[in-house]
Amino acid sequence: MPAPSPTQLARRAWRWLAARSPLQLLLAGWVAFATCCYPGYMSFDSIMQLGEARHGTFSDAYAPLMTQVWRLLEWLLAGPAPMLALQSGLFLVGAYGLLRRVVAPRAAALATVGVLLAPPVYAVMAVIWPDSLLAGALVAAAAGLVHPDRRAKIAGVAALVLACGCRLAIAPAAIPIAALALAGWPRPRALAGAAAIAIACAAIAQLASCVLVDDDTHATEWRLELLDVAGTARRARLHGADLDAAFAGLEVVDRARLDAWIGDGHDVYDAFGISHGDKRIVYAPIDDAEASAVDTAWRRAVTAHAGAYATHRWELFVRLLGVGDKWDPVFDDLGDRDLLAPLHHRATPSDLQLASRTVVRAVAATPLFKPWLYLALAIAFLVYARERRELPVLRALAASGLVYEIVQLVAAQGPDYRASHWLVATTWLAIVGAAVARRWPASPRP
Amino acid sequence: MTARARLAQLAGDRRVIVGAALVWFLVYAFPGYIGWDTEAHLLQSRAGIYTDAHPPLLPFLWRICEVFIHGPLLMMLIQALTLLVGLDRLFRGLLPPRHAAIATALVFVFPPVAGVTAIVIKDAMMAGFVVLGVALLRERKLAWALAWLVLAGAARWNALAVTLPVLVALWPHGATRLRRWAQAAGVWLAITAAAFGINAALVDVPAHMWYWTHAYMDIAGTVRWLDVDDRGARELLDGVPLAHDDYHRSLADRIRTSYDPADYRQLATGDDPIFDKPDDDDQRSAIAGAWKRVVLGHPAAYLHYRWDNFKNLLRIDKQHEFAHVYVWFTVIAVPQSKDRLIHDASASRVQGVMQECAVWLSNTPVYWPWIYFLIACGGFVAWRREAVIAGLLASGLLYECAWFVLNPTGDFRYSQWLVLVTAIAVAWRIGRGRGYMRSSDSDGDGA
Repeated sequence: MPAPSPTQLARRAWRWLAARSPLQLLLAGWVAFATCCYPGYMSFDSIMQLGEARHGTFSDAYAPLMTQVWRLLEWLLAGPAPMLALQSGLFLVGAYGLLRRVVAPRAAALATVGVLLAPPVYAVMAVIWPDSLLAGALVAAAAGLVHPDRRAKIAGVAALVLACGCRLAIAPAAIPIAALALAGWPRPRALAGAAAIAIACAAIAQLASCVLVDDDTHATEWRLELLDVAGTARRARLHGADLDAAFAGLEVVDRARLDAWIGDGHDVYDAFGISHGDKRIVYAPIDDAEASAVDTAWRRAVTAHAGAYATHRWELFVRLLGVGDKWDPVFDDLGDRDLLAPLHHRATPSDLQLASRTVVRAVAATPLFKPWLYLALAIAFLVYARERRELPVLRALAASGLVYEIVQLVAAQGPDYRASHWLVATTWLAIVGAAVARRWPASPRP
Repeated sequence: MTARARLAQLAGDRRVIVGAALVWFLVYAFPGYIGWDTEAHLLQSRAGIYTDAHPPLLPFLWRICEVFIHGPLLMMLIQALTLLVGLDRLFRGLLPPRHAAIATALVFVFPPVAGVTAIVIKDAMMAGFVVLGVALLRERKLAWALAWLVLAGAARWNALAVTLPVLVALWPHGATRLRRWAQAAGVWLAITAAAFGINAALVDVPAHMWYWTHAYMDIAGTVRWLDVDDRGARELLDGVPLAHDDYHRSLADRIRTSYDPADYRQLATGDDPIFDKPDDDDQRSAIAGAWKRVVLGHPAAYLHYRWDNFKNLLRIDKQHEFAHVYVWFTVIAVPQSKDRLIHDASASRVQGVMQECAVWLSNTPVYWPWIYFLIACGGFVAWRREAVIAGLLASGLLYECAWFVLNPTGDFRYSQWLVLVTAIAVAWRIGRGRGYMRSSDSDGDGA
């Protein structure tokens, strides 16, 4: 019997795939995803957040609502694995629920799995970060809100609150998602209603976070405002009395070091390094008075040096889009051994994980990991889809990703790839969904 | 449909019942417990050098698992899922669907069964493979059934005591009962040879473990019940490597003092060992010779010591111990194990409570194997017409009896197979109810 040709093998594989149910395909994809990154990559932030979840003392440094969710999951299964399952599971279920509206079921399942495993999306979903949970929750929220069932809509709103709890800056991007629930309304009313829903969800999330926080580290002040103050001062080339005025009220570590740092001429986008570590220039605020001083300094910098502030934010945004020489978008470490020892969690990568890291890192060297590409693609998609009545869901997704990326212009705390992940994920979903829908469209609903 | 009706419908769904059992088990066991033997399997698997101290199939299987995920999770899932799928298929052939699902779930999460399945260990691996093999054998899927039974045989050396009765009870071919049994015996020999062949092919370094474990234990245990003086003991142990000679105490006295019918480790390791581990073939031949002289020459003393040991295994008049169930993620009381395995885990809150309950329960009669032994004996007599149940009970009894000569340390895991088959039989009897008999039940004529 002659060996089957590659074409025959491909046909057989296709027939086999076509015989699987969407649920089987989704489960297989989920297992494949989990296998490649089990039990979940853990950065310094992830480890600190696990510590907070386990000990029950929450700070504002690590998305308190997410910490609470993690704490609840730790009732059943300890460690990062349940969070990995939650964030990827939400993404998988949500993306399938959305794509199912425009694509045939099996094709929707395959497309969903394909997007989840696409290295630019996978690279962030594999890490236990608020950005990953945010993506899962927001996609699930969109799927819930477009579902005709009332309970699904309520679940969608809950997911929207969770997403806002992960990153408050997502609230504007939640408006196109919330608008999906108001599909039959006139456009101005729908937009107003969606904005009201997004604001309400953000307010609930913010309120819940405030209630949950035990230890206020004034994270916004040292992560965003100090970065802006320092960045603006550098862009405005302040020195002498002007520099003193810009940092008035802040506890400068060493004036000579500040002079040298500002006059260095290089941009530094590391918010943590400005107020933490050996080379910091100011002390991080430790009480409300110091936090208030940072607020004042930030307002002063923005108003007194608006041009320098805009330049600083623009430069940061350009770096965020992946333009520049230093670009390291992939984090794929299972966690620092010494930091994890007190938490009794330790893991090592399998052969498959090492191989998947190699693949992801290879892809990361290509433009596929550059957010500017997705910014352009999202705009192009919105133009393409504006007349396509069958793609409102995908339009809303792409618009949401675009809005969040634009919000980063003022909200980004550093040029991290994960801040652009929502743009990347939504663009992938929109383009893959639209492409697959051309060949395997969803059957018209009765 | 109301929420209540929907809940009732869900509770009646076979998949939901079995799925709930799996979730319950995973919450208890995730990501899998690691004991001494588990550590040995994992270290061998990572080193890629297999010894025959434990069946090398396990480290080999673990090596394959670690291609995908490092740590105990996949191994634990293999032993749990084979058991769950096997139970599900087995009960579906014996009981109505809902009863089958409930029986599957209850047997699977029954603490003495789940407590062993949760630790990555050859006993649990064997149990899962055998149950799945038996279910497939009953469905007449012979190739798959035999494959699983071969794997079971390779997962534990003494699984041959398990596979013989089930093959005799369920082998479907042969015109007469005698021919059927003869064929079953032939198949058993073949799968046992295949299982031993697989392990032999995998072994890189022979450990000669019997000489410094079972042989020393049998020699010392038998000498304990012999009326011999120092000179007599030395004559019996001629050529056996002694750890150090204490001329102030007689050898016979030292052996009597160190007597523990449920342990051998104090004989060649620890603070005051009596024997040395053999280094060469001459010493191993001397030990084998001494074993023959002592054990075969004094059967009454040997049986006395083995009965002491077997009583310990069955927990007849056994004292309360810290725990008879293993619930630790790294080797208990060996913190270095975390570094050796590069693995650590912690219990969730619910899991912590379940572990405490399991430890408490392990010191209750639920963990007394002699009770299951009696139930299995009674069940075998009462339910001998149901071939699969009779075969399973016979295998449980034979396997447990084999421990009379094999049992080293009296761990509860050695009795898991007896407990499991007894639980299966009892669940089947309860689920069958009065007078219920499926048409397919008539395919066997009893063991």
